[in-house]
Amino acid sequence: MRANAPSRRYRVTHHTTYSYDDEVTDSYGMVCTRPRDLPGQEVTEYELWTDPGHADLGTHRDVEGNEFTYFHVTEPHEQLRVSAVSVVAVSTPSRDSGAEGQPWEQCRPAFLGAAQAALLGEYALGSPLVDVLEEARAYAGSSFPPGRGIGAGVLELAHRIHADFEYQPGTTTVTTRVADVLRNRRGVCQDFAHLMLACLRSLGLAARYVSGYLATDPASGQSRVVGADATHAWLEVWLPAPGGGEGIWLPVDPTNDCVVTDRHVTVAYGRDYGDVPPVKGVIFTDATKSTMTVSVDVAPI
Amino acid sequence: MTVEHLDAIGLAGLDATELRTARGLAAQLLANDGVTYTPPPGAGTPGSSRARRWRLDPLPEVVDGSEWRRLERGVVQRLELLEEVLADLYGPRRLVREGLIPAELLWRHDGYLRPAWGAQPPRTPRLLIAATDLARGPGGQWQVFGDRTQAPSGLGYAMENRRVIARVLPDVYREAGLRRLSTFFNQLRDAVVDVAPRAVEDPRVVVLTPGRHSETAFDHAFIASLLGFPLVTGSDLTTRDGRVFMRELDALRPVDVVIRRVDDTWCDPLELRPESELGVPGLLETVRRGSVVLANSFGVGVVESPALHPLLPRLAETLLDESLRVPSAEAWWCGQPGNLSHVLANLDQLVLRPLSRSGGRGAYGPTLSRDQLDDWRRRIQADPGGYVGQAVLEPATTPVVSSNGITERPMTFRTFAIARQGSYALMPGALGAVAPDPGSVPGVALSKDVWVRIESPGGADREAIAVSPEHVVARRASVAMVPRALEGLFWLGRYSERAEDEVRMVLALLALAQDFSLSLGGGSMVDTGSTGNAGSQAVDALAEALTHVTGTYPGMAGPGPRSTADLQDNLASLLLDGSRAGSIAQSLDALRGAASSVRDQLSDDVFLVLASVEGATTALSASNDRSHALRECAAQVLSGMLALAGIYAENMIRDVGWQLLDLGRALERALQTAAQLRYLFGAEHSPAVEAHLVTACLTTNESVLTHRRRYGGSQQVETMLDLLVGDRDNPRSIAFQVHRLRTALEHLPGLSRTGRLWRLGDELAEVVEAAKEHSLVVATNAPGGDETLFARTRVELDALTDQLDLRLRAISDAVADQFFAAPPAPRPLGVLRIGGAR
Repeated sequence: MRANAPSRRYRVTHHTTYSYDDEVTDSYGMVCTRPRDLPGQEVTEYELWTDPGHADLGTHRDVEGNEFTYFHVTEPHEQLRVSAVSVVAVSTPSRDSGAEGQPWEQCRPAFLGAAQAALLGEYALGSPLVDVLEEARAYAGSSFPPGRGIGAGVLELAHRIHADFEYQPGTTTVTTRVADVLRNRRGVCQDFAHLMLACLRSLGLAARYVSGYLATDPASGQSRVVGADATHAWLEVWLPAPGGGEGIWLPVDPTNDCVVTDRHVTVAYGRDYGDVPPVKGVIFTDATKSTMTVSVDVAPI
Repeated sequence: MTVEHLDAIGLAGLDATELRTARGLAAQLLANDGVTYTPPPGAGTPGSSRARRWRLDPLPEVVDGSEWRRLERGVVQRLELLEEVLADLYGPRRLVREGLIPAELLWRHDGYLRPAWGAQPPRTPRLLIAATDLARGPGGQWQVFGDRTQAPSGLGYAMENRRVIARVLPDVYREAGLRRLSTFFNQLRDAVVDVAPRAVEDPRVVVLTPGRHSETAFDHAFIASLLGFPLVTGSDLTTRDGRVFMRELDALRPVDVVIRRVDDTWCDPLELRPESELGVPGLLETVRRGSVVLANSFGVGVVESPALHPLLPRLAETLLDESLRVPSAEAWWCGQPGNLSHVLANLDQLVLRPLSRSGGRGAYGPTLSRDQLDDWRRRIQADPGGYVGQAVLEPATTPVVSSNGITERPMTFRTFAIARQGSYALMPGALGAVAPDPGSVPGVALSKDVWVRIESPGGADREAIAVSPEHVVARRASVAMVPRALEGLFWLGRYSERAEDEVRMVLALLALAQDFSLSLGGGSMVDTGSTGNAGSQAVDALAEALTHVTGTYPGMAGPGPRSTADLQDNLASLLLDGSRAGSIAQSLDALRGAASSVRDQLSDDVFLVLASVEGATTALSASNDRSHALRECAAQVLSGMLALAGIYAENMIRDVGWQLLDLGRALERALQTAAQLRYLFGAEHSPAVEAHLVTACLTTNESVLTHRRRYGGSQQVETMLDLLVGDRDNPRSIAFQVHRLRTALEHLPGLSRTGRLWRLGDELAEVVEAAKEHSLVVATNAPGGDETLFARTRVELDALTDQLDLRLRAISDAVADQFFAAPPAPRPLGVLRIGGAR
């Protein structure tokens, strides 16, 4: 989908710091922070480290080609910092008006038959954190009258979510369900991505969760604040290629009511957040309290 | 099978009495071996349920060799097929792409584990050990109704059933010409060793169990000990540098193969269920690196789906270029419209099953009420792809021994296979399941041994005929000195000693009571003059001390005299009420628990003894004649504990585990003796009462003869204390226990002579030495100026027992810290919130 030549370069610095009130003897972690190599996105540097240093490190790719790094820290610690730095060039994806103009009904994998769209089927179903609910279908319905072009429907849905739901950090958690978001009408980018995934999947469309970073501009007159950026989440909806072939993914960011631009750095694809959390882990400790701080900086270079 | 088959192996001639005897004998042998099954907590029974006895019908089910050979080819083919399907689903996914398996069926099944994709090392079977559930129809045709690929249980039960039947029907067994199971177990052991990832000389294999509270804990432990592989729990294992290690004392030993009896999603909290405490963080990563092989692999649960059954004929043709040999029970996955309408129209004639285990329990249509059927209809309509309808089986019946002869009951089979050289070897036998009551469905409640006869007597397979009891040679006596096992052995020692010492007190109390005509036989208390009065006071004092020693308050601690009935009730409760803290029954329960937790390290004799002890308490609870039954029960418990002591002393290797067991026994005996001395003699009684108590205490501590020989007829507290505290030659004395305990410390690895345990041992020895220096009985005081003898406290004795108690408990804690300390449970590392930017 990203066909334009890279137009912006960033150094993405992502620190996750865990602090405990007692010694941790073992930390095992699984990290998914390396931006993907994609048409229109090129990663020229990537480094991942832990402090204290890791005793073991291993890298593998999952079924979607996302890169995961396993680490094991054996040095006793009361604070663990996981750091990832990447240098990535990103271009704004080009749009395909032909593909976006197709009636949405014809973009459903089920409509296309098993042979072409079997593997996409995974993204047209509910997943552990995306319940495909009747309420989601009801909410999505007005944006998808019969025969409407898929692109217009998707963008309108993103626009409505942006307008109807309040961006309010601290009101939801990683396990918040789509139904809660629909009821309370607020959340953060992950909730909006899950909600929109539920809406699209309830219509039979294939849509996947995207974990990534967003470069933010400082408010006018202020200088950029290092570390004030955040990890971000949006989604992509699948469209068949009008002339046949593999099909394409249309990336859309309901939190910012836009299609994805050269400020979005794509890290990983999954059914939902649970498939691609940036950092997850298991610790051995008697500690009873822990705090986590995340600092992300997407610096133009 | 019909009665004619029984005739063929000479069983039809048995009359009803002989059959009932056989049934009783089978039950007794299973009880002796401690074979149990813990049903999963069901509706209305929250929490963990209690272990139930494993039940076995004494009549074996016999299958002819030629019929078995056909079945074997079918089951082997099916497993080869499932292995191919798994290789595809966790690899190229061609079957999904080409529509041979509906994508939704895969994506929706909770056995499909996304992180397992691509993790399997090449040329390693995903299904190393697999089980297949089969029924034989009335016409003799076989049908598969379930595939058990996740962590199949039942092998241990099958082998145990075979051993029991061989003892119940020895002649029939010898003459039947049946194929032995041990050949298969030897193959299994070799297969597991061969699959080890490295060319290691002696690969280390472990059996990973959720623990002794699991549904089939017996099965896990039995298989582990049968094959000689250590039984471990998740906390006994750790991953380091891309490998799995077993924590043994202070060493980490690499593990090459893990036979998991834990469902895969619980095996690695890092990548799968984060809340699991049963697994090993990093296990999936070690599999990915190819350093360990899991039997069975991560993600294999997906082929357990009954929704796959209708697809298998076509898959067999595509993947194997063969037609499917053994059909599956008909099934309809509701995710396809035609199937949905069929299932909805026939709800009351089908077995209704959620697609995945997470969908909850299934239901048996024919037994559902109208409301329940409506409920199922709604559930299925709301989410058709989540359900499967399966044809109700009509398995052929088999003769079963019942209380009035033989009845016919439907029966199903579970077969077991092991991956060998690109194919599978099937165990020549099976675990049979019979409906326990008319009209019920075959299940685990009643099992059957399944005999497979050789095809041609005297032919090539003559070697494989079972004539002698089944025997599997373990590769080596592999005992895992993991913290959990060491802890189990330590508490085995403590609880058997505790039960012994407490039951000895009960016996002394019963004897004393009888001596003074306080016949516990139900008569009223008879005043037999001043002697009798002292006797009855002694009985009260001893009863009160027993309550203090066991901590079973209020018990018999209040002021006496107490009635015979009261004493009897209290003693019966001590022996029978496992829910009463401190009771002997509780010690025995804990003893059984400790033994189960280290079953793989103990001889079968231990379970034989435990069964006899259980028989003794069962007899007491059923008895009407309390006075006789109490003594009988206590005597049998004592004899059981003595038998255990004999097994520990005579039949166990002197390894680290034994040292801890013996240390546990020494520690407990010293604690018990100190407690008895404190509560019997801490307060002074009249000389007449005290004389009785001295005798009782010497009896309890098995030192009457020595005391008499050494001190003549004296019944002095002082001479008794000489013998029970400071005499190092008396194996019942505290000094002896201290010596024994320090000897055990000398044999335990990793202890520094300047460390805490040694220091505590030294201090304990000093306390006992100091006590020998002067009399413990002389100094007394009478708090509150009360001059009556009854209130005078023996200060020195009180202080000594206090010191002993404190130090012995400190040693127990130090041993636990040093040897049993499990790492803290794994916990999720805080979860990252995708804050989002806007």
